[in-house]
Amino acid sequence: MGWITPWALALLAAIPAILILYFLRPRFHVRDVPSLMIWQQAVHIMEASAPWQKFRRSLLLLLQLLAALLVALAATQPFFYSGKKAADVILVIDTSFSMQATDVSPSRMQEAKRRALERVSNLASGQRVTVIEAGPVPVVKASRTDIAGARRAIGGLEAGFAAGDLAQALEVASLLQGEMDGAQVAVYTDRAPTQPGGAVWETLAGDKKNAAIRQAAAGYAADGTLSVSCVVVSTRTQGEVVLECRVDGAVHAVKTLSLADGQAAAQFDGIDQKAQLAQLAILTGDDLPSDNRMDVVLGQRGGMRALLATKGNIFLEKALSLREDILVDKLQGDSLPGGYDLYVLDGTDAPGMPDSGHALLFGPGNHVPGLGVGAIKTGSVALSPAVDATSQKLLQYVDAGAIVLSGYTPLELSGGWQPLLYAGQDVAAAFCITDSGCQVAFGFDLHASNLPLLKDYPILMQNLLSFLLPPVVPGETISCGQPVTFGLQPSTVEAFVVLPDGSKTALEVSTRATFDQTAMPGVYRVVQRLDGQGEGRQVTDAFAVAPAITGESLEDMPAPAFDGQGDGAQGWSMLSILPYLAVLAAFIMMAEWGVQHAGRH
Amino acid sequence: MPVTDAAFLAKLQALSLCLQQDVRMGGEGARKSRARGSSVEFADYREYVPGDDLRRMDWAAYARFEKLFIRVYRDERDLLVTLLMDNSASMAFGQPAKWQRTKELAAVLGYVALHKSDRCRTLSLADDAPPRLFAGGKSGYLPLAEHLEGMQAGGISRLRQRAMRLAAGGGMTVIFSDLWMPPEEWQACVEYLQYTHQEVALVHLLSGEELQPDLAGRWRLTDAETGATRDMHLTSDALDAYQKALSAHLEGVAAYCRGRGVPYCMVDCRQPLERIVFGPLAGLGILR
Repeated sequence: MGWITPWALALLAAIPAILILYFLRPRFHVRDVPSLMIWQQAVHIMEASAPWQKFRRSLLLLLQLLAALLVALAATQPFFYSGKKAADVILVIDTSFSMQATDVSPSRMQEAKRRALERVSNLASGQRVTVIEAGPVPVVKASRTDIAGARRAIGGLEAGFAAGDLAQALEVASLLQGEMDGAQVAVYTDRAPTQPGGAVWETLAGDKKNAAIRQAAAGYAADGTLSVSCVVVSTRTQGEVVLECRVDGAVHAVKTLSLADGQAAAQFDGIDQKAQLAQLAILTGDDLPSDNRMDVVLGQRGGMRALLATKGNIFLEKALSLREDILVDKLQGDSLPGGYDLYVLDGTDAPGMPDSGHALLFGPGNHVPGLGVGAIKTGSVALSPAVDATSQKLLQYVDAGAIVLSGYTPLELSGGWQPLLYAGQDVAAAFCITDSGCQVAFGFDLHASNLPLLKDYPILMQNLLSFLLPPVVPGETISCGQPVTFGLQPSTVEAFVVLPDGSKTALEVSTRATFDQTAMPGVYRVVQRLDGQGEGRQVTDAFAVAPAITGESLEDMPAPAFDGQGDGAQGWSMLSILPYLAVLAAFIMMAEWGVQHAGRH
Repeated sequence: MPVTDAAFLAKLQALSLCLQQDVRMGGEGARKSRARGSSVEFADYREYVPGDDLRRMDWAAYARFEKLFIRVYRDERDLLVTLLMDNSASMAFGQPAKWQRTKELAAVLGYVALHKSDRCRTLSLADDAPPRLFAGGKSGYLPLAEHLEGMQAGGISRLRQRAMRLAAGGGMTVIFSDLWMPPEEWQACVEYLQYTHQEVALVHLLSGEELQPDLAGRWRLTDAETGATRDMHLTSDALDAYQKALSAHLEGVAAYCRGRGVPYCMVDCRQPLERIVFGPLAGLGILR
């Protein structure tokens, strides 16, 4: 047997209080009478001399004491265990995006919290509770806390916008369960049970009707205007939905889409190329409204600057023109000016290496730190790729074996240089990633190869430019919870991210800055303060984050693999005797009223 | 001033105090006495002894019996009515106060006595005032009434002590009291008075709050004379017990008086004076 609220035993203090009131001398009104003779003969209630009256058997007193005892015991909420008793409880509560769905009233998340709180309320006072939040990363919100602490932890949970990793949360729960002898795991989620045995699985999912914007992108039309296209998908909907497109806050167009096939595509044309932001919204209501909106960043910030030092290489000029966001200057003079994001140095005549910034070198001399050049070799030789991940990425969609050289300078690598392409046993191309910038060096002149003639050439150049001058921000929409890597410019001295709620987070200034605070949907802005040429420029790039669609918005509930009850789910329950005590106390009080009314004290 | 209503006094003129025994002592008055005297009422014959008044010789008896007999006549005496009035503090209770009724009833009996040329004497029981004698027929009523008006209530009753100050002799003594004293106190007084050849009558006065107390709840009751206190929880059961105790007390007083041949009446002071006089007081048997 146990007590849910043993502190209520303090109510037993009512018993001595009743006794004190019973024995305490009552207050009297004063009156003069002609004589006490008859009163003394007639009335035998109290003695005048002593402060306490003598104890007399009193039915009323007995009933009052019994009622007080019953009320105190009832307040302790005593109960009996009707089975195996669990010492601790581990609650795993899913806070993924899909828990925002309102097919379960008021929402899946609120229902999960209610059930979890209900379970906590039925625990005995000695049981400890651990609360694990199953979000993008499992977080132990409360560890072996009491009932009050568990209530606080559960009350603070809210469904996010990111996909949840329930499997990892269950793994954490399993590890904790192994450390707590006899602990019971209870899972509150909208997923079907995945683990037989050991856990109580409460599935919260109804007949969710939902339409979502799965993807959206912007592009240029032939007339130079912008267009935004998107794909709308649905589950159990809704024959038609109304889709609205706003551009910089103003309604641009509204379309009605038929979702009979489960998905539909839409395109909004004629957007001014100077527009900065497009906002798509499904106006038709459903059970998960948070995925009915998606932002598309339109404005591309230009202004990355490249300096081309060459005596004439149309191939390089064409390659650089593939990126519209890169402004190319040609070297004037003999010295390399600072302030450029990319230096393309063609030939050994290039005037040294820049102090900072990325560099793309063709036929470098011996002035490159960590990079040595050997004697020129001639003869036809095909290239082969390096096998590391960065090399694979740089050479993606490029057939390195198709590149044939007629002459090259073997590269001798040291420091952070790594091979990219081999000419036989020699390193024909290499790359280096430093704090001051990324460098790629080719030990041959483009004219001494068939590379510019290959269809792979623009692909290779795009890969190289993406490596050396990646877009500051990703062009595609990011899902909530997904980390983002920014390609900060080498001249950046300070960088921070402005979140959709207006808060700011500083970024570590490096060529690759990772940002993982993408929990909320909306438009994020990356601000870089540049130190170049004494101007102190500030540039801003934007990217959009949308709620996790895949695995959250559109997932139908599969049939459960098992009944989700777990081995110990029905292992214990509490039989409360509070109702019986309350009824008995009510009868006692009625009897007390009856005795007092009848005057039979 | 007690009892000044002329119409009521006129009704009282038809009343007279009656004794169960002849008046033996007292001055010359209008009451017949067994003592032999010089009134015109024939009482008896006795044989002639030398020295008797020959004018009382009954010659007809001599002719019949050839013996000398003389006539004997009744003597006439007046009655001394003593009014013992309990003026203790307990007599001040009631609406009207018991003391007020006591003075009124004493005035009634005093008027009846004086109107019949009897004498009236008053004595208070709770102070040391000397007894006052009133006589002279109806003209003596006014001084009596003025004296009664000036008497005050207060203190503790000393019935036995005060009654023993009275000189022995025949007459009537009427005790006016609420009898809130130990029984031996007033019983000893009655016995003493009877020993001194007084015809004793007892008028027991009680107020409405004593007959039917309307108290309920928790009360601290204080005795008006002794100052003693007692805490009481007056429930309905307690009040019922009070009534039983009061009834037993009244029955005990009445039984004692019956046993001693003492006329007794209990007076509810809430009743009008006239009703009391022609009710319980007349029921005493001392008025006719």
